[in-house]
Amino acid sequence: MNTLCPFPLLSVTLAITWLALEGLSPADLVLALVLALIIPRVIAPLLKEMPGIRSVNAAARLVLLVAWDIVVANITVARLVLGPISRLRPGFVQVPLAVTHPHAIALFASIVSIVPGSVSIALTPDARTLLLHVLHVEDDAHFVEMIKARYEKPLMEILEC
Amino acid sequence: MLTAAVYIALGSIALALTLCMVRLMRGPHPADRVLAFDTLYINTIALLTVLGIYQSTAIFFEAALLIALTGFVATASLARFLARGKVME
Amino acid sequence: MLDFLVSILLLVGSFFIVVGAFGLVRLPDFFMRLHGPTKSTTLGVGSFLLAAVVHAVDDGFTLRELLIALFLFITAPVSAFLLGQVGLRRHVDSRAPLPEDFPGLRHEPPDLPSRLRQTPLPGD
Repeated sequence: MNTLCPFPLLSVTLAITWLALEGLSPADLVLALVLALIIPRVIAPLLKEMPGIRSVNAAARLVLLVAWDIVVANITVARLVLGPISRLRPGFVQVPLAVTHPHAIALFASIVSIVPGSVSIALTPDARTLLLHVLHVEDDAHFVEMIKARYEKPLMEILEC
Repeated sequence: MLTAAVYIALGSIALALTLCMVRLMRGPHPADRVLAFDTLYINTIALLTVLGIYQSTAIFFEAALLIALTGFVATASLARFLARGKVME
Repeated sequence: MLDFLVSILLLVGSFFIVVGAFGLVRLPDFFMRLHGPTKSTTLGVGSFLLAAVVHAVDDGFTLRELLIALFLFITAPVSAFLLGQVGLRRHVDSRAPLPEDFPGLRHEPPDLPSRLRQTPLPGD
């Protein structure tokens, strides 16, 4: 099993994606199976150190939290963009990272970017600090604390790393 | 009511596309133009989605998926070119 | 009832798409404008695609639109990151002071071809 299908989660996702795109005819089922077996093997070198997921429950909770934050932050940012520009206090904020695994850092940076109001822009070569640009920030330290507690802590609980 | 909402959505997308064109032409930095292009293709996906709802067809979906794929590759390679002077290492 | 939900989603999406594009024109510097597209992607296009899914519930449920939404959600942070790198490396004007002490930013990339090092980029 392990040699035939080294990344079961990825294989299942690929098969479901293909079937959602193409329909459920027998030919598509066969093709989905073939793709699900071949693609993970081709990209295996990139996936070698994939961290495992410790808790599906916590992962689902993080997804819901991010979805909720996207809605709330979108409204906040819409108000900022439509309001007087001179009142905005944009700033670069450096976030010291507690997560060390490359995938975890990528996930954290993506979550921070996808939630409106902050965009991750650079990472130090030693991958210890993430640089963010924030559209409106009043208290840097408070902001860093907030996003670390909100997104990084659940990430560390979910991923085995 | 749905028809009215679709017309409002189409109007808003047209307005958004116009605003992106303003940024695309005004620049000033090449990075601003790439950013405008990025927003432009995302809005095009929105346009195709709304047209798909309006005409109750899935045909536009294929085009939207293709635009999503090529648009991302274009933005990524343009940004890499501007940042590093070459696309591939 | 479904039509009502689709209409609401369309109106919400319209609003955020316009706000995103408006921010792109209105905000004063490149790094602030960078916030515009992520906004219109997430809630704007997101609710349009959700509307398409709800609309298609009548004639067979499909997840295709959600796939586009998922793809956009994965790629938007990546393109924002790459564009941010352009801003940092080319020293684009910024209202917020650029971080002087951030390692790895204050030098030109070493692998820049000489052709590009001599001639400034268009608009630079």
